[in-house]
Amino acid sequence: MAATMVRRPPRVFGMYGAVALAFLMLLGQLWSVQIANGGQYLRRAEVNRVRIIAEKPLRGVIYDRAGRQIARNVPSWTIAIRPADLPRVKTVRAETIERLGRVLEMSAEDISRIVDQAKEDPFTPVRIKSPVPRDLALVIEEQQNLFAGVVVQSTPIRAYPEAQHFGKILGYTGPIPAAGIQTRLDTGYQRDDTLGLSGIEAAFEDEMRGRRGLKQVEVDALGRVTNELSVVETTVIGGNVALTLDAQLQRRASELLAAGMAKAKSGQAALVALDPRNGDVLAMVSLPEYDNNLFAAGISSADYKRLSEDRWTPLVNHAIAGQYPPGSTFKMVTAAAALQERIVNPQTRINCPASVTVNGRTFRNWNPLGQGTLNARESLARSCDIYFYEVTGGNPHSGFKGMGIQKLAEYARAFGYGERSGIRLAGEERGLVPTEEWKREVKKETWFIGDNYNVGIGQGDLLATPLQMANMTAAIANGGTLYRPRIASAVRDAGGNVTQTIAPEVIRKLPVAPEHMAIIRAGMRDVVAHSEGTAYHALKQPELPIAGKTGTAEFYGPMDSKGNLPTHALFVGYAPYEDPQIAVAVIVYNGGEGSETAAPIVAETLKAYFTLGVR
Amino acid sequence: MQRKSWAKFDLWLLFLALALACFGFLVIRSATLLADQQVSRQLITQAAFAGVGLMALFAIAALDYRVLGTLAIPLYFGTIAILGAVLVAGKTIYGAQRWIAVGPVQFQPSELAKFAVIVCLARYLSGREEKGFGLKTLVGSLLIVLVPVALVYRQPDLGTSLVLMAIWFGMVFIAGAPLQWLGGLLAVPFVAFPLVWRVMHDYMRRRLTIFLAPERDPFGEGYNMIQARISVGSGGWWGRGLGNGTQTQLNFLKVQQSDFIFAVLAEELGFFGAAILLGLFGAVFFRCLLIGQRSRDSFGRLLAAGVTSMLLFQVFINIGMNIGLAPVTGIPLPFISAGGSSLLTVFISLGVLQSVLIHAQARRYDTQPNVSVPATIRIRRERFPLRWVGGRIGRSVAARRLQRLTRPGAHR
Repeated sequence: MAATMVRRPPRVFGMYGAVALAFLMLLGQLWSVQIANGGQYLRRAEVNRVRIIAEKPLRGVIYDRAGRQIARNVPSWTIAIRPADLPRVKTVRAETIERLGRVLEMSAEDISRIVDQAKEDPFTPVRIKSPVPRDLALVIEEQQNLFAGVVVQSTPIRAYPEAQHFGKILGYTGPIPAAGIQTRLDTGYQRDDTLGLSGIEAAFEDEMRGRRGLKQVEVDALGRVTNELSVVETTVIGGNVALTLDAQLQRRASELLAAGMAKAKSGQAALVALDPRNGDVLAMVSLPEYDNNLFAAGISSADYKRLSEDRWTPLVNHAIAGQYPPGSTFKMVTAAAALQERIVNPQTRINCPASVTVNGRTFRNWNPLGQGTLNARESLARSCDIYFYEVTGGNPHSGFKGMGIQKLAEYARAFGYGERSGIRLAGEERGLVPTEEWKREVKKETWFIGDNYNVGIGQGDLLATPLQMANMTAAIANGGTLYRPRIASAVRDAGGNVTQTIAPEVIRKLPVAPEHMAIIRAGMRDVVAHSEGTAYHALKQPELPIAGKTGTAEFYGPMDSKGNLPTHALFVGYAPYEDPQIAVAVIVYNGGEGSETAAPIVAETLKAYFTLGVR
Repeated sequence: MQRKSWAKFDLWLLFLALALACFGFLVIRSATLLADQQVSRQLITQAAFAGVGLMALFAIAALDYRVLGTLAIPLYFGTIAILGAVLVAGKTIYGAQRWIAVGPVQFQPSELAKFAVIVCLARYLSGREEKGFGLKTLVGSLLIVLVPVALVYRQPDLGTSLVLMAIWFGMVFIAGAPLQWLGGLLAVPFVAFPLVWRVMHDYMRRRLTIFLAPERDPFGEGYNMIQARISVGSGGWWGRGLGNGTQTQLNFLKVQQSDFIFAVLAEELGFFGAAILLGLFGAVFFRCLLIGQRSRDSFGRLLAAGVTSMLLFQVFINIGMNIGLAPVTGIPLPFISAGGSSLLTVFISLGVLQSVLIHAQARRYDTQPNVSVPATIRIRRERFPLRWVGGRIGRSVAARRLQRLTRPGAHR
């Protein structure tokens, strides 16, 4: 009631007090944020706007020995998302992803899943679709405000002209495989990098990948670069690899092999051409091939499934990984071993009937008419099986002692069989040189004399890769030096300067005396030039002095109407006889007769070397 | 007797409002700066609304504020109706139903609700004054405010609900509610917190947890708080310069033109600029409370209290959420935030206060009706509200003024 004279301060002063209190709090906090901690926040503002972006280096190019490009980079566009820059409001974010999905013809769920997988590193772009047509990329780039967080990357991809001839040798590139991704990340790769996964692409990955440059840029909240601030590290373009292959020879050899395969109705074949003077790989073909341009853009799972389930395994390089019985092409080793071990001398003649029977088993000669008595040179030229049976396993009837499997195995290994040559390509197999121990341990059986016989003619459990056969041929051709096959000769930088030389390497000198080698070579020349040579008729005395050896190797498969096992067609050869410059080995799976199917392929390839002017 | 006296118009308040509005233009320009344009669409809209607001201010000032009092009930129910309509037919922006489109303009009825509640509560509380502030008054006032609060809360708009409660609290405090009750009521939300927590909308819960620990979700919910604080902090003493704030210009700061406009200001104009802003606001509150003290009747006083509570709460919470003192609640910063409805409401509210000054009735005292009080004491009470604060200075100022007033021929 009004009568009270107690002067209480009006309530309004309470409000003044509230105002004062509010302002003190605000000023105090403002001071704390702007003045006391201002430096820290300024730093964080800088962190926001400054990004270090990596510039992908251009991958090195692959050349053949004449300097022709056989793998190169072409521009292509990738659509990626940088998760940290996607809109934060959930509805807008979902809209953006859906819009992107419509444009890219992908489902929004797929896109979301890819983005979610990259949660731990939201600043690195994660690839959504690649490649996309240029127009599509431009559409997205022009409407950047509708696609916040979407990054259009212009990336070069690999292009392989003439993939059908080179495919497996060159290999392909692709995204880093999930297994072992951590080691890659640790060695400087980023999650969205591609690397070589097979062939030369993989073997020379370190040389060809270059080094990414780092740039400091200013970005806005959408992640768009508004300003370049400085270059932290310059980009280093990848080194270019000069292969020893010759593109024209490779193409020609591939065509010849394909034609031969088709004629013999075979599903698989391989060819290796080496330079006997230094071990250079001049051509390496493995059919069937695949188009590695399929991989360049990221292979579809349907395509990959088709390739990996193909019974002829187009994804495997059969030239280095295919293991086949070498058949009669192995006889040079047997002959060299027999001569060197003085089981026989060059004049020793052994009877070559149609067959021999030992311990109740009959071992046939290929020629059912018998071939008389032959010496080493003649046995090679006419490919008499009996000769080689006996020098390996002996003859219980005549008491002739053979060298035994142990010795033969030694020589086989000396010639490069049963071990990897060390060529700089992944996936090389070592083949198999069987011995008594091996048979006991692996097959749990004892060694019979028949096993000696079989190995002596390149059958039995003996397995070899076409590369090993070619390498043996090259070593014979050059007089007895086994080289390590060389697939690349140098790595050059973008300016053409050599940064790495890969020199020819000798594995070993063959433990065979020169005069014995000469006999072997003479025998191989007779195969082609002598009227009784097994390839004489098939090759029709070519002008080019070729020396070689046919092979018709039986393998386990469905027998024909006469009860014969199927055979691979093989031929190894070199030219010119006096001063060999190229050695070639060919195998056509289930190709029938070596002389009929494989010999012409080798001969034509050898001729092509000269007509094409390969240097 | 009623008399219009434009001489009583508070020019200071007008200038402060204009200064703040212009300050707002500067900052909005920075926040909406485009590479090729000097002036953006939002800036033009804001200027247009300021113009309209200014005219509204003068129009309302010309009107006797007591007329508003008689219109309180229709105003109240009209607002309830519009709020209901919003719930049914409002446009959804940023996930809330807050706007109604009127022609080309978007209009936020919750702003209108604030004004309506101030007027209504002022009318109700001043009407019940003779009876003293009893429990019935308290409950009645609470009911008046809770209906709009419920409708607004359902939009959902936690920020405006809180503003309405703050208005209620301030007005009830000035109206003389016993302090113990007020203290008790303040304690209720804290005590009932567990229940409140469960009943809250999901997004409000998230807002509170993010307020306490924004770093836990730096790219999601916590982003805005963190970026706002970075923006403010990076301003330092003098700021980065208008148009040069990297957080603002590179769009790291979101909702730049409304919720986080203060951060734009703080980043570009620094502590210096922010302090000036706080000074201007402080002066505005000061002038408003002064009007409350000068008001001849409790209706006017309560209007002033309501307007001040509304502005103070909004300023504190908006600036607070930019610097980490309050959770993000979508409350606009008066005068500065881009938003026509808010600007208009503020200008209208100030217009009402001007009206209170201009249409001040001749001497009638709330507490002593019809008592003839000596002229000197009257004059002192009218003219020298600072008596409590002034002391000797106040008294000498008072004495001089008294001389001037009592000279022969002076108007009374």
